[in-house]
Order: sequence, then C-alpha cells, then structure tokens
Amino acid sequence: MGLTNTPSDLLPGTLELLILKALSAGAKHGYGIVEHLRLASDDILSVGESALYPALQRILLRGWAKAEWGTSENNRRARYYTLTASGRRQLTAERAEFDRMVGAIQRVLLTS
Amino acid sequence: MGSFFRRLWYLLRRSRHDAELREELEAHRALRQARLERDGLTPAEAEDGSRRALGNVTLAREDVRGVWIAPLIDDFCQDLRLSGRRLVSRPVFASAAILTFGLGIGANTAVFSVAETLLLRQLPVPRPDELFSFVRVGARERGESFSFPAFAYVQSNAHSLGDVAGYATRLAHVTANGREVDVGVHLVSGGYFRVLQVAPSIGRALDDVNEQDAPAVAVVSDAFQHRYLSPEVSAIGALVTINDAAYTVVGVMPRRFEGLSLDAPADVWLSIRSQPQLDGSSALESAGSNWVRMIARLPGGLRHPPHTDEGERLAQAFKASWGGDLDIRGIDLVSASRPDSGARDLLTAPLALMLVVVALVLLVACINIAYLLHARATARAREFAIQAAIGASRARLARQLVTETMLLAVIGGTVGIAFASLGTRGLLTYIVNHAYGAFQTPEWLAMEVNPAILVFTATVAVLAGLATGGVPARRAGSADLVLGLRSGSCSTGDRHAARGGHRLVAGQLTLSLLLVAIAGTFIQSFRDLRQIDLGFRPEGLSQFDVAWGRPQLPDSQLSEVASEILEDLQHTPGVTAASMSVPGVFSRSTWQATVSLPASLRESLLVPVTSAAPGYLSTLGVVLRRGRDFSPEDTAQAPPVVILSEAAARTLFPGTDPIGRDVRLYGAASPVRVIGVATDIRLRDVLAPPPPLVYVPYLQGKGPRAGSVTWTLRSALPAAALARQVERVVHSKSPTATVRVRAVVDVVGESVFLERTTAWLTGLFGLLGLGLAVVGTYGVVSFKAQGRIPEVGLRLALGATPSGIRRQMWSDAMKPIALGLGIGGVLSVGAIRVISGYFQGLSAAAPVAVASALFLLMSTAALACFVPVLWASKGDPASALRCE
Repeated sequence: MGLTNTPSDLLPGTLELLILKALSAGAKHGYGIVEHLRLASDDILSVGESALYPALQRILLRGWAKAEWGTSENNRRARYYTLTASGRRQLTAERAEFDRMVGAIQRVLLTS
Repeated sequence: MGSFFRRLWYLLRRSRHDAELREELEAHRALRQARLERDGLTPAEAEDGSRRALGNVTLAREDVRGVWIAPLIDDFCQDLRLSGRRLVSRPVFASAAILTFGLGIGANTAVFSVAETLLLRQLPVPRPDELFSFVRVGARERGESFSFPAFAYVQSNAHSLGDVAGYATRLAHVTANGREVDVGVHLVSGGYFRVLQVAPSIGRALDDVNEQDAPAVAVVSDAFQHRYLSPEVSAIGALVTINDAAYTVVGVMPRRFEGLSLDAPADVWLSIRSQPQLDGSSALESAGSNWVRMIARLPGGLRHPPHTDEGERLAQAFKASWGGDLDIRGIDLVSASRPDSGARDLLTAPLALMLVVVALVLLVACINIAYLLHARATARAREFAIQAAIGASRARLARQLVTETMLLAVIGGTVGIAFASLGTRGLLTYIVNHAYGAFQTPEWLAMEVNPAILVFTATVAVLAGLATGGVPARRAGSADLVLGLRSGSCSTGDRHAARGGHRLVAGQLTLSLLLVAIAGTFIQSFRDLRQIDLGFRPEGLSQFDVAWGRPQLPDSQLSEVASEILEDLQHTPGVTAASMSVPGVFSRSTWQATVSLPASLRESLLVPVTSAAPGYLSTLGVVLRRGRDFSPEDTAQAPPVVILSEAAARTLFPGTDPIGRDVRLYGAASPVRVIGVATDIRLRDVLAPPPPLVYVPYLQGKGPRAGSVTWTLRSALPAAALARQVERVVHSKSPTATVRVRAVVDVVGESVFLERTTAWLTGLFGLLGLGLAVVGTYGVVSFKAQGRIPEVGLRLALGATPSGIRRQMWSDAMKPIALGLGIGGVLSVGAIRVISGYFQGLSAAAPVAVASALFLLMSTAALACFVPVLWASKGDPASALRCE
C-alpha cells in the first residue's frame, strides 16, 4: 500500500517532492504532513515515520525548508516546517521534472 | 558549501539535535493517538496502535544521523584515501615532507615540553593554586628564608593567613641498607604535610606530635624506597643513618612528590627539630640566621593573598618581641603553586627565545613544503582541470589539497613527538644538572606526553598543515580550467603561479634571515664572552676539592691536613705554583662579609669574602697593585690583616691610599689592617662587572669555614697526569677521601653554560633554517626557470640574445630575494633589539651578526639563482619549441 518505510518504492526524490508540495500550502508539523498526504491521496499514500523524518532532514540539510518549534492542536510542542524561497524554486523545478518523467513513462507504457 | 557548514553545525550540537528529534517523534505519536481515540479506540488501545504505527524509532534516528554525517565522513574518507594514495605514489616527496614536518614539529614539541616542565608545571599536590610562600622584606634585601624563631612566631600568630608550615633543604650523607649515598633531605615543620595535603602512600607522615617530641623518625620518597631500601621488606621500621644519626622510617610519600624545591628534590623528610643533629650545630635559637622557608594554604581556598598589613604587623611584632636588631620589616606573600626554584628566572628568557626560534624554523619548513606543493599544484593544473571538468567543485579540490598537507603534518607531528621524547629527556637532564646544579634529576620532571604537550603538538601540526596547504589550495581553487586543459605539460607560464612563488621566496628569505641573524648574534656574543678579561689567567690553572670520607674530622684537624696537602703539592714535580682558598674561583658557594670603616659601622658593604693562603693571588695570576700578599707569619697570633680588591678599595677609601688603614669585618669591634690592594677579578660571573672583594688570610681562621678548602694549582702537566699526582698526595693523608681535579677553564665555561647552550641551540636551528632556505630558494628558482624554457626558446627563435634573457631572468629571480632580505633585515634589527632587553651583552654583537647573516643569505640565494638561470638560457630553441 503506497509509501511505507522504504522510500525506494517511489521514484527517487518523489517523497521530497510530495513533502515540499504539502508544505507549499503553509507550515506543517510531521504528523500534519502525513495526514495531508493521506487525505489528498484518498488514503492511498501512507508515509511511515522512518521514511518521513530522514526525508525532512534531507530537506533541512539542503536548505529547502526551515524548522521551528510551535504548539500543536493538542497543546504539545511540535516542530513546524516552513518552505524557504529555495524550497519553492526546488518544488517548481522538481514538478516540471516529475511531469516530464511521468509523461515519459506513460508514453512507454502506451506504446504497444 | 552551505550544506557543509550546516553539517558542521549539526556535528557541533549533535546531542541537542537528537533530543529534538526524539521529542518530535513523540509529538507525532501523540497526535496519532489522539486521532485513534477520536476514531473510538480506548486510550490504551490507541497508544498501542500509535506505537505500532510509529515503527522502529531507533532506525529512524539512525537514518537521520546518516543524512547529516555520512557524506561528511564519506568525503573525508575519500579525501584521506586519495591523499594517502598520492603520497604513496610519490614516496620521495612524502618522506621529505614528513621528515621536514617531523623535525620542525619535533623541535617545537621538545622546547615546549622543557618549558612546560620547568616553567609551568605545578606542584603535584591538591589545589596548588592556594599555596603561598612568604618573602622576608628587609631594609637591605628580600629573602625567601626566615630564622627559626621568626617562623615559630609567625606560625603561632598568623591567624588570618591560615596554617603556616616551614621547611629547609639540605644535602646529607645517608646510609641505608648498607649503602652510602648523598641525598636531598628536607627539614619540615609539623604542619608541612597537612598544609600541602599530601598523604603518605604507606605508613604515616610527620605531624605536630613528631615536631614537639623530635623523635628520630623519617619519611622517605617513593624513589628512595625503591632505590635504597630492601624491596622485599616493608620500608616502615627500616633504620637509616643520616649524617651519623639514626632515624626510623615511618612513612613513604607517593611517587612524584619530592618536596617543594625543584633545585633540590627531597628523598628524606625529617622533623625541623632534627636540624641540630643534621647540621652539627643548632640554628633553632638564633634569630640572625635565616634558613627556614615558609608556606601557607590560605583559608577559604583564596587564590590571591588578601590585601592586609598582616605581614608588616607580624614582622614588627616579632621584632619587638625579640628585641634585637633584625633585618625584617615586613612579609610578602607570593604564589607557590609551582615548586620553588632559583633557576626558573634564569631559564625563562632562554626558553622563550628558543620557542620563538623553533617556531621560525617550523615556518621556514612549512614554506618549503608549501613551495613543493605549490610547484606540484602548478604542474598538476591539468589534473585539477580534469577533476573540475568531471564535476569536482573548486572548494572540494581545495579541501582535498588541504587534507593532503594535513595528513603530511599529522604524520610529521607523530614523528615529531617521537623525536621530541628522545631529545627532551636529554635536554632536561642537561639543563637540570647544569643550570640548577641539582645533584639528581627530580623524578616528577620526567618527560611525559601529557595532555598539554599533546594539545600543543596537535595545534602546531594542524596550523602547520593549514598554513602549508593554504597556498596551493588557493591556487587550485582559482585555476583556469580551459587553460589547464589546453596547455598540458608545457605551459608558457601563469601569472598567478609566478606571483605565489615570488611571495613564498620573499617570505622564506625574510624568516631565514631573521633566524640566521638571531643565531649569529648569540654565537657572536658568546664568542665575545670568551674574550672577556677575567682579571686572572685561567689557562694552565686547575683546582680541586676533597670529599673527606666518614667519620668527618673536626675543623682544626682538617685545616692541618689541608696545609700538609698544600705543602706536598708545592713540592710535586710539574707544579709551578700551588695555594688554597675558601672558596675557589667560580665556585657554586660564596661567603659574604660585611666590611665597614671603623668610624661608620652603619655604612657597611656586604661583599664576597675569600679566605686565602699565602701565594693564592700570585697562583691565580692576580696582580697586587699595592702593598703585600699574605705571608706565613699572618697567623691567628699575628695582628689581623685583609687585602681589598681595587673595586672594594675604591668604594671604601675613595681617592686615598688604603694601605695601613683599618676596616672592620663582620661588624666586629677589633679593627683589621689593610695590607694590600689586588686587581679586580670576576669571581663567579663572567658577564657582570667585577664585584668588590675582600681576602682574609686562611691562616688567621677568621674567614669562611676551613672544611671546604679548594686547592688551586698552576701546572703545565696534562690533566690526567696532574689528577694522578693530586690523588697520590691526598690519599697519603686520607685514604678514604675522593678528589675531583678540574681545569679552571672548564669551571669558568660551566658558569656560562646557559649562554653557551643558547648560542649552540640557536646556532643549530639557524643552520637548519639556512639549509632549508637554500634548498627552497634553489628549488623555486630552478623550477621557475624550467617552466620558462618554452618561452625562452620562443624568444631565442625570435632573435633575443642569451645574455639579454639571462639578465631578465636574473632580475626576475632576484626581485623577491631582495624584497625578502630587505624586510628580513628590518625585522632582524627590531627583533634583536627586543631580545637584547632580556640577555646581557647582545647589542654589541648584533650589527656584525646581522650584516654577516645578510651577506650569507644574499650570496647563497644569488648562487641558487645563478645555475638555473644559466642553464635555462642555454636551452636549445628547437627542442623548447617542440614541446609546445
């Protein structure tokens, strides 16, 4: 079922792309990102924490998002991730690349 | 590069980062649990479910760590592997660089460890910062010793200064387990071990009870126990004989604790009340003889002495209670966190100088290696261009080069520590034995690779690596990719490379000139030292003293034996002249006497006094300006007489003839007649101007103790033959005595050991710097000349004359040399001026030394240029052009 603990289920970089997209709507914490992906994909994409958090760290490392501590809905301390300018640029670029890739795969699959 | 710094930042606050991640994951789980509860699960089920969904938290954390660290380690390992491969593939370069780094870093480590050990190392006791020693402030002098009554008074009245302890150091003859040996004995008060907070490793220490009862008990050092007591039987209860009195060992101190004196480490501690038995006469009652040193641990762990007038109050109160004329006005407190040492002041300046000198040597070495790398980087431009072309970032290329030099420096540093530990032990022993006059090297001075030294060496190695790698790394970072790819091995020259090379040459010559000039100054001033007129003729002069066996003869008998020996020596064939005195010239011990005019007792001089037998002055070669020498008739029964040195005569009788006048010695009432004036001599210090001196007749027995006679001989015999003669004479009087005959020239030489050592070591390092500079300059110039072969070929082909090309290449090569030497000359003059403030007799030697250093380096550099320039201009234009 969708995304699990092995990110290699997807095309490389797809998880980061999805996270960037989830964040483009506004700051979210880790659980918020998982919920967003689950709802937006009609319960198909369920991201495991052990894949999510390394991916988030990779995003932080590259400077695409920054993290700040805030208070969650149930009044707990939670870390909120916000997209940076370079993250937005990365999202645009990766989306284009992803579209190109999916289109290519589609064409391959449609060729009889 | 941004991510590189983010990674470093992560590394610095890794544990915080990890904790934050754990909290984040827990928050995540709590949110999921809340949702599951909303979905209708019981809280327990919801918690269970949320935990299951979270999966392997540790794995997630490991993965996160991997994201941050792995590439860093990966890059580093890759750089390291690549550097290692490069070095292995160039074994000659690698070993030359490692050896150069090893020598440079090793010299730094060695000098630093000696400095750390002698100057910085603290006492091996708990919290040494709280210890303070007392200084007696008198009208005439400051002294570190107090009389025993003064100590006893301060100890029982100094409440605000805390617990006060007293101690004194002695060299004593000890018999233990049937072996006889001279060891350091410290006399200590009851509070000594309590104040220091040192507990014995076996048995008990000495305390107040011991002091009051003064039983014959001793505490020994760990080293003494291992060396002289039976290892099988417990040391406790063993009997040792110290200066003919028996003591029972009651405790053994821990290893490394050897008392508070660096110059005279303790092997045995006795109660201070044992002083009369040890010295043969009691000094416990006299307020006039100062021999007890005082130490206190300030109450409340204070690290600075309180600003009170406690010291002055105590001194005044003591003086009032004693009621005599005592030279004590106040008491100062000085830090005693380091062991007391008379030689530390002496050694600070030379060691600081050596640190600067070895740092200069290392810098010159770094420049040499940097140049080698720079040359290689220029030659490797193509390799870098390829690496950059297939995607290596410039930062990465630079990082890789720095890794390469760091690797060299770290290996060199390891080699250096090995060099240093070989050299330091010898250097330390040498310094301690000579400068300190210590009879044994203190155990705790042992050279060890301790954290301070490791940190120092690591810092030096890293700095050296960075400094060395920086130049070629910048070059690699700014390399022109296209040019590098195109031009291949035969480049027409690159302006960046040329400028970098120029700077290196200039820098190297600056530093080398500084080094050679400093070294030259010290060597020149040491040579000047040997020309100084001592006032007597040391050539052909020998002196000896005698250690009488035990039991010791009384002074009266000794003086008789001494005269008999002298008489026999005077009749020994080959001995031109012989006499005796207390002390001899350049002796370690001096005796002082107060001299005054009978009318004004207040204005007395404190001058060194020598007790001389008839003929002593003529044996030395001292000329009598006026009057007569002592004669055999000047005995205790004859009227007391004295001979003054010219300086003493000038001070006491300015402008008048002192012969036949009276003076008073030692403040005694009876006058002493002046019978002669002798030329000034340098009694124990070559550097200081001759001090005023007085000579009293040995036969009148008023002067220094007869037991420590030095015989002085003038003889043409070779040293070994003379020693045999002397031994024969002495053994005929006292078969158990031991004799040590020494040439006075050697004794004088030993007194300037510090100057000699400084001159030798700076000279050695100066030579090393000079060698490196020559090799480096030659390498730079010849490499550049080689690089210009195609250009020269082209010019020749276009009609330039070889002499014109030579002239141009010559002036190109000499420009940085002139620049470097110019800066270096100015720096040298400044540096030597600063150094002269700390060393005597340097300024006279400086101009000659700087000029010779300048000449030496200029001619070597010119020679280093000459050959490559000549060689390049003779190139065959056809072959030069072919490689383009």
